[in-house]
Amino acid sequence: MIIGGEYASPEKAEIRKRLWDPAFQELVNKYNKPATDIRYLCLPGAQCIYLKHLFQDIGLPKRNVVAVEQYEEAAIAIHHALGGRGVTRQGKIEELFEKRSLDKYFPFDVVDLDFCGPAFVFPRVRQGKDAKEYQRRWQTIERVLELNRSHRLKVFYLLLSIAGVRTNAPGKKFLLREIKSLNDTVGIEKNPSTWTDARLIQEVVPKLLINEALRQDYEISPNDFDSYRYKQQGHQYPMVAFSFRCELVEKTELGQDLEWKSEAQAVFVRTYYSKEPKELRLS
Amino acid sequence: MPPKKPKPVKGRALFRILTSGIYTTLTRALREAVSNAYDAGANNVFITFDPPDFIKMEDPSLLRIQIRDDGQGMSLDDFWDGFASIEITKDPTIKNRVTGRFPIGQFGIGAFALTPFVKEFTIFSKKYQCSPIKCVVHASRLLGQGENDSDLEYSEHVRANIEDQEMPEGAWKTVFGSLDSGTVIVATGLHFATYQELVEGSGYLSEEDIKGFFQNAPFTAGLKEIAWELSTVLPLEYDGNDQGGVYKTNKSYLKSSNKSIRVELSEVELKRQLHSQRNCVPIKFEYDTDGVQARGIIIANETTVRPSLANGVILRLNNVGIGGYTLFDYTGQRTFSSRLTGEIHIVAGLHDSLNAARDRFTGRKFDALRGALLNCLEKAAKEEARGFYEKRTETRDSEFEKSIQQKHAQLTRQRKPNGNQARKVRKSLDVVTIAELHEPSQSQPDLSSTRSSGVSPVVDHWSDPVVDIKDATGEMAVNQRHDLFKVYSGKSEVKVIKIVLRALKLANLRTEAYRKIIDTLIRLRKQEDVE
Repeated sequence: MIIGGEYASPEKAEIRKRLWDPAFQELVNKYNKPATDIRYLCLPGAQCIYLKHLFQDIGLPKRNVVAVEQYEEAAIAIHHALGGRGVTRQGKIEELFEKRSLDKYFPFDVVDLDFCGPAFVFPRVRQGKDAKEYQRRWQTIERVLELNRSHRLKVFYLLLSIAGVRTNAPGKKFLLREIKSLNDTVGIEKNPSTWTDARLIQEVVPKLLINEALRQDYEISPNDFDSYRYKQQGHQYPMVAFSFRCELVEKTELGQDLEWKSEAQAVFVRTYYSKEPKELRLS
Repeated sequence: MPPKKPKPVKGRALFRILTSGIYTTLTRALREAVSNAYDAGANNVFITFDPPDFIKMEDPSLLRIQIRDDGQGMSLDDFWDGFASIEITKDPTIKNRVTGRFPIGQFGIGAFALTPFVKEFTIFSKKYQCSPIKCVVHASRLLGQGENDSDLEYSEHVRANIEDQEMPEGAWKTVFGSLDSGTVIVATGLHFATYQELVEGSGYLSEEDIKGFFQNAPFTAGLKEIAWELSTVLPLEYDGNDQGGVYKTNKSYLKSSNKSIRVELSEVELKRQLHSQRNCVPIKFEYDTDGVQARGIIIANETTVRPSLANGVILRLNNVGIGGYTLFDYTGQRTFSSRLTGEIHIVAGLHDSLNAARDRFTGRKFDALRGALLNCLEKAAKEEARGFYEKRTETRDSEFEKSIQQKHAQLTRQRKPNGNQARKVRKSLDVVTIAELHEPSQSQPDLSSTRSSGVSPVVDHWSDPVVDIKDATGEMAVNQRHDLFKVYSGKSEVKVIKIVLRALKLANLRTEAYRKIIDTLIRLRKQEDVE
């Protein structure tokens, strides 16, 4: 068993194809950003499956990659794969952000936080033994938005994968409360009683993220948002993957700020929540 | 009373002597690591550093150097009995039956070569049908920063500062990417002096060399030095693209009985270079005296060898460079000695004359070989000098011919002037037209008589000698004290007059005709001034 996990499953391959590839393709085709200029922050895993695809098929240069890995053995493998061109940092990404060790590498056009465990589904909950851990992952995302904003990066993609499970009771309460709030806001009645944790997470996370993105003046268009919940072969729990395109909106006139943000938030939430979230099932 | 004997050597002191005392640069330590991989039968070695910006930007303690090879790997027993022990001696004259190679390590002391430069390094290794191993070597403690183990003897001292374990196959697969055999050494945390060496280099490469080397590689100045030295010393494949094509035509002289190894430094494949230039003169060297056999090529280039570090001859034993390029105190003219480069393979007879650091030979037999090499260098320098003078004469002659032809073409063109330019052009071309030589006011040269008489119109010595043939260089020089230069003083004029005077010399005119031309040239110039 590869330390840090094996990610060569057909489900993961499909997620890369449906959610991750379009991010790079759009940067190149829609925003005229040469592949050689795209900067990429990722958690690639020891096998660097997606990185190798990017090098070979998209033309991303190794020098534009900053890879983070917490396990020593996997970090050594990534260091070798990047061949003295890209940066490998060993450690937990949350800790590296806390120590501000990654600040100097920003901005990034694609930030790929492919977590293999639960993430920030309880962002404001501080109870329980795992609360701090989850809080740190949420802070990681906040910091990514903040740092790209500080560089006035116009467009970037946030690719997020998290486990579709929650491990404490307050978490469930929090998610159900958020669903109720979404029902009220959008004006539709979704009944979460039969939903899995993965579905709950898939419905709630976009709302949390749009709020944080708008705080940093990034708008997320509902048309450029996508998500899937899926279960990989041989893995214990399901995963949820998201792709957010964050576009910077700089308003200079006083008073306009709150207005456009609440409108953007409402449009985004209404649009995504009114659709049925996708589940990946490979026949 | 027991017999007197020296006090036992403390392990820490001996360790220092065997590491810091021998491996004085990171490059040497890396070379040692590759040598170990070579002896372990590896075909490929990948040395990976962090990217240059990262090296410059980050704390030295975060830097990582990784050396991975696809050799036969080690079990824990191999690690302790072989790798970490200094009793092991390899006979460089006997081919290893498993690897099919002559060993290039000898004393078994290279295992800890990285110790003086890093804080810690970890060795991951897997041997066929054995459990993979992970050994963490606490380099700083081994060199004496620890307090507790200061009185331990060597093997205990080493044992106390290495954590060893067998690791799960999954962990090996994670590190290596497969379950094949091999070794991965990962050094983390550089000492500040090593860090500086890595960023700035130790200064033995000139700025010009640094700019010219490995232009697209992710290398700092220090890494360029490492790349240079490793590609010089290691048993790599020749880069067959030497400008002079020496490798292609002299393969038998450059062939080694020890096969080569492929080395990548941060994904840049290192190749051995011959540094020959176009039109170089390769001189074959063969030596078989007193049991010492050597052969190779010394190359006399047309210009100074670039990089200058490749000036001289590098000796190779079992295909490994011993030290750097050297001229062996050759004291010939620097102009020519700076153009020499070459490689000599020691085939037999000097395997036991190598020092521990493996950077030089010593002893009587080597001195004799050295003498032969000096003679060969001298011969190459002479060859180069002769070629140089011949070439220079040829070049000058051809330049002269060319200038005459150009002048002739110009005159031919100018004889057919048209439009308003006609008069102006006419004036300038008159300077050398034969018509001027036959002016009625001047006495005509008797050219016909010389032709008819069959006597060669040779003028051996001018009354005012203008042109000499220098014996040393073959250069045709013009004496600038000639009367012509008193009237023709412009830069381009002087150039033209020099050509004219050389042409007159080569034309072998009679004195009378010669004087006539000179006088005409002076008169025309003066006339021009008046106008």
